[in-house]
Amino acid sequence: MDNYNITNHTNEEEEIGSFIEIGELEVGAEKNIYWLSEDQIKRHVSKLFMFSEVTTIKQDLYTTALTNLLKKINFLELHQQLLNNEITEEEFDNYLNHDSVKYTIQMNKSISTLEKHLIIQIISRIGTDIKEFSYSDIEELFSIKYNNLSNTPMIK
Amino acid sequence: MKFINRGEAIEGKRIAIKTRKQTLQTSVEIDNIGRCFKYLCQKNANASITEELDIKVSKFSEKSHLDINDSVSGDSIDLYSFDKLQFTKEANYSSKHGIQSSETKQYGCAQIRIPFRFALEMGNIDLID
Repeated sequence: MDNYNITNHTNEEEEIGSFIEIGELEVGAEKNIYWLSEDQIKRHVSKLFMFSEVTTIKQDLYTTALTNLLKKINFLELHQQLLNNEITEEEFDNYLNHDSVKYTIQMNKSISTLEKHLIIQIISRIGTDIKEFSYSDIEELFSIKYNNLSNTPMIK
Repeated sequence: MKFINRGEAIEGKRIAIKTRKQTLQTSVEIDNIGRCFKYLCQKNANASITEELDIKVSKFSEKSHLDINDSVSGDSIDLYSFDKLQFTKEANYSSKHGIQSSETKQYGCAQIRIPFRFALEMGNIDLID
């Protein structure tokens, strides 16, 4: 964490606004006024924005992955019904055509480098015991356009 | 020509597939193509183009091979088909996994997911006649 400087600037600087008072602290008889320089403020604010952006992107990625997994479960349930002869091929097609939102995964997102890094982070936290992911699995899970990930050298 | 490296893909109107084990994975909506069924073909799979696309332009990947008789072989292949496929058993060399074959009717794309072990060990091999 950056040190908050106790007044260590000239009056001139204070007038042109390069230092901003952020608070006062009284300890006994001593009264300290804390200041932040413009540079420090910019750094803190940009860190805050960055943090909130990463959190939002991560939430979007988790939501997309969950939605796609549910779609996949819906599709496999429908296919199971077809295999058990509970529905006919025609009914199977009808369900897929009329309720595509429920069964079909959209593959239409282009992703940024930051998103790629976050996806790699998420996938590596899942580990390989449950599933060894291929490019197409990851693209399918996060609705990424096909072959959008394959140029990422970090994924093996 | 036969392609065996990871990520190699073929696209065609009719694609013949032979595999020992196939599973219908999901249905996906791909840009420029539409809704496709995704099959995972495992335990030695081969896909070849038997009829080229009407307009010979790749829709799935820029690097896709589009010529007739182009084929991809690997330990495991992802197959995308416009239609739902019916697989028929051809022969039963192994007691557990007989060879199953099928063919796409309107559009098909096959991409190598896991290459053969020897291709992985030798690195990228250009092509095999």
